[in-house]
Amino acid sequence: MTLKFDLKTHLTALSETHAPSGYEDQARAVVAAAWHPLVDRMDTGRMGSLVGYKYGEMPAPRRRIMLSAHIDEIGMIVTKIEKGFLKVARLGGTDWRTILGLPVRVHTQSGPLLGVVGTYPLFDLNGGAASTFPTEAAIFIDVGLPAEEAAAKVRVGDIVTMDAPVFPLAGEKLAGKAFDDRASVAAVTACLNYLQGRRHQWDVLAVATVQEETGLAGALNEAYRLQPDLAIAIDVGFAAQPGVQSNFQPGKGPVLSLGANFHPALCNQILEAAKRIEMTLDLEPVPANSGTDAWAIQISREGIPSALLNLIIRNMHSTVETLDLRDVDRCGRLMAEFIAGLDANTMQSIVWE
Amino acid sequence: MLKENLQKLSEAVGVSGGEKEIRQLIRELVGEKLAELTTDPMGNLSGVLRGTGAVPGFRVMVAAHMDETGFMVSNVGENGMISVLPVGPLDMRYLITARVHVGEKKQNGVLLWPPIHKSNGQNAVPGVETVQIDVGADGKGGVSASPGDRVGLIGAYAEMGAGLVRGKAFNGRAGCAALIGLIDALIAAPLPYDVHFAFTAQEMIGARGARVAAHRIDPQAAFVLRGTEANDLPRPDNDDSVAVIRLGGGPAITINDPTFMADRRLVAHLREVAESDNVPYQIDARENGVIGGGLVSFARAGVPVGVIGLPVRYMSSPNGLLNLSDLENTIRLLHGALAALRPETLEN
Amino acid sequence: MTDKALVRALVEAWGPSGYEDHVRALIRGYVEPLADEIRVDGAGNLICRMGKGGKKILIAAHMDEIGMVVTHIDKDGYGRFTGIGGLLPATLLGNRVRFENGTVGVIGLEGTFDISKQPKSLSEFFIDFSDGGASRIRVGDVAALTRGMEERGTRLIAKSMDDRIGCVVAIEAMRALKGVQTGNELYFVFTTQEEVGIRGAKAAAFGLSPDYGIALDVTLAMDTPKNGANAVKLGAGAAVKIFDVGHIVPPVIKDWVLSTAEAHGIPHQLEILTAGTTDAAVIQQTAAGIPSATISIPTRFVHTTSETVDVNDVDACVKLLVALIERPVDM
Repeated sequence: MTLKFDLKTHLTALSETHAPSGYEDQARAVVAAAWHPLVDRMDTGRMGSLVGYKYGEMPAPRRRIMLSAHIDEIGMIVTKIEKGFLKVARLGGTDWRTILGLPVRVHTQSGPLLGVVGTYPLFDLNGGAASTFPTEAAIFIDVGLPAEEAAAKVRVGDIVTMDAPVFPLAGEKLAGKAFDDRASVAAVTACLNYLQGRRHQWDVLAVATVQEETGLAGALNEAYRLQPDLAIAIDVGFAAQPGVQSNFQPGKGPVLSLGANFHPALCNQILEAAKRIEMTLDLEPVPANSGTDAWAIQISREGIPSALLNLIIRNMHSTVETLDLRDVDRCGRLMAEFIAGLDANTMQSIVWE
Repeated sequence: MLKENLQKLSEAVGVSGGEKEIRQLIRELVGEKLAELTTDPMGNLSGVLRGTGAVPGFRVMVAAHMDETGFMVSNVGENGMISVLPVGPLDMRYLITARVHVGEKKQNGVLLWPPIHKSNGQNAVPGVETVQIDVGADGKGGVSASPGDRVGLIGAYAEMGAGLVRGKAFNGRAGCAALIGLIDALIAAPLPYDVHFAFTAQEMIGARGARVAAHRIDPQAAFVLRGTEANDLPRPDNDDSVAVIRLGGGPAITINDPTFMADRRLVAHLREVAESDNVPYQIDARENGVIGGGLVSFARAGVPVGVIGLPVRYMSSPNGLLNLSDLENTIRLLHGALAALRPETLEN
Repeated sequence: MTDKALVRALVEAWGPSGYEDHVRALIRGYVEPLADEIRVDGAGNLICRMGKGGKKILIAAHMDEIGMVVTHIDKDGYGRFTGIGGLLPATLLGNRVRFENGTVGVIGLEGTFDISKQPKSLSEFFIDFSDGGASRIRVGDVAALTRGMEERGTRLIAKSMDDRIGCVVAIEAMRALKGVQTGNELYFVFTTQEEVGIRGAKAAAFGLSPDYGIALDVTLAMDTPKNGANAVKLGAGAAVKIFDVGHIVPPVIKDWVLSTAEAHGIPHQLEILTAGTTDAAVIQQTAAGIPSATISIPTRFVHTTSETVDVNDVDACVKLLVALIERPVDM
């Protein structure tokens, strides 16, 4: 079965939108537009998370499964304007080392300004030390404006995001920013597409959460509000690369996490769904905190059995996060298959031994 | 025209030793305007703009370099990851997550960098020998490049507003754009002597092309254009101890580099022309990298050389900032300097 | 005997690399009556020919001295600078510099006076050229260290002995050879920009295409406390270079120089230098190769304002140079 929508175009639109933690409007709008034809209803949580409701067929009160992927990206916020140059602080886990010399966008009251992340040239650093990265104190945003004009246009508190178009690599690989976690959002969109023309009993609550990068706030709030019976979070995972110990590579399909954060019975049922569609699902051991929405969802109210699917990417938290589009598609297909198999009795089997 | 040329030149790829694309582009842009357009054994592209002949036996060379820094493929692993060697001096602080074009086929690639979650606290800038490039291939077979192929940085040209543009390789290419702009000005008002335009190769790995071009052309004087790092950046504690070259401050008349002194008569000449023609200018005496001009000045039995720097911020990154007014003023200054230059200027 | 007035005139002259005009004019005054032909090449080298026909010998001594360029003048009028050639941070504080227009500046160290402070780079220094009025110095202006020459017995103490003392040796040799039919075509070249990379000599060698080269320069005397890197001493005669970091003297050249010194009973010593090189290094590598020698004047405290030589060594250098070129060179 093939998707009727173009996954690459959707993911590109998601990646290229500018929406750091706390300021997710633009991304939410892109997701809403994509989900609108695929769901029965949408609403927005108090902190800005978007929920799409696709109703199931079982009689009320219907069981609910929450799919959670975050739309916020790492970014920066202006703290000071110094002679026309902007000092910034991090919004989420921005890695100063990966952004030097890269184009950015400064989102001002009167529209976006183009900029570059600047630092001092080597010969101006006593000793010309080429061997260490500059610290936060030596990093600034250069919008190329004279001091008065910059001071007039930019305000403390304005948001800064990386300005990076999606960059296609060989085969189905893409490099770009914010695949963490918009690739997962795209997987949810793919799942909703696959569910068009499939019958399912349970309500599907597709949640594009906010503020994951700054503390899982969106997932926390929505799990509380929506009170699902089960939840699957989708996030990105580390690929093996120099400096990173991992057993996974992009292109080998989504990876299922096992560990305290995840209900073993739920994980088994996901594995069974994978078998049904002849998909191999690699497993990732996670001893405790998974660092994802799942960690927040699991302890909401009286507890929600949760699972985590990972899309494997290289260069996480950079503007060249690299993934394989096929993984996104497979993840969407797997979730649709899993959802189609849920019925009125499923919860009886989600028990601890 | 100037802006369009600058964009084309900036976005073209020509890592030292592999300047083909730039040569071809410059040939197109220059067209029939220069006589004797030749490529010499180093890969320098040069041509002559004939003067009226009123001052015979006097030849002046004007030079800018075509090449940029980048990488060279040293190995393609079985897993499809590419190891590289540096070509020219690289400021790796800016290149950690660079997007690149690999090889003649310009296969898209990115530099691999361990995520912050795995490398927190590691502030040492990695050496190029630890860098790997990922083109998205699943194995060696998916990589179209092989050892020896060059890898160029990608930096999309953009207009920033306030007369600034952003792009890569302005170090050499802005100078090339200036020289091409100069040609038209000189055609409109011919000089009494010949001017040899040299678009040089392999500047970034030791000004290799420039010295050869000077040897072949054997001029009585030379002007060399290059990018110079604009460091008009906020300094802590109002520190006022550092020489600053500013964007928008005009072309930087250069006194020296660590290995040579620009000819003092040409320095004075440039200064006089700037003052009388009302061209904003700056004086650059900072220790700021080696200039090709140095080696031109000691070609054969010596050539008096003047050096003009074009201010660029973040010059070693793929997204340098250049003020177009500085580019225009560089052309004006060089034009004025050539128009007023005579053999007597170089009398001792 | 060494003409001390000549030495004083040359060492006290102003001429950092690239700005050798005054020294060139000064030297020209001395050599005009001595040479058959004088010209200046494209690199600013002063080329003086004596004789015609026979082997072409290039004798090089550099006119330039180390100095500094003002890069920036701060809002209080202090000048920041970069070095021209090898300025040693350890030698700068409190030293005086002179600009071309005569202004004398004093080099200061930024920050409060701290007896334990060890400056590491030039960027920690500044020049005070304030005179209570409007500044006469601009960014881009060039300065040289300044200090008058002193005599102490057979010692002469001054700035820029490197390499004005080499120029003295050349001029004295020219005086000695005036009117002599040497059988060689001698080119006494007073070169430019040696201190920033041995620039002038390369151009001169290329232009003249000589058969042999002889450089005249200072070498580090190692006869001061805890200094034994080589065996060169003041007063032990002309230092004949065997080897330095840029120049391996070809054995046939080395033998020529040593045998000449021995045959004429000229006091001499062997020199190996592991820190620095001379014009000869570059001359030797020029074009198809020009075998070259260096005759060095032993000097203490090189690149300070009190470089110290011994007049007996200077004499020995002159005698050795003359002995090498006064008859047809044949190796």
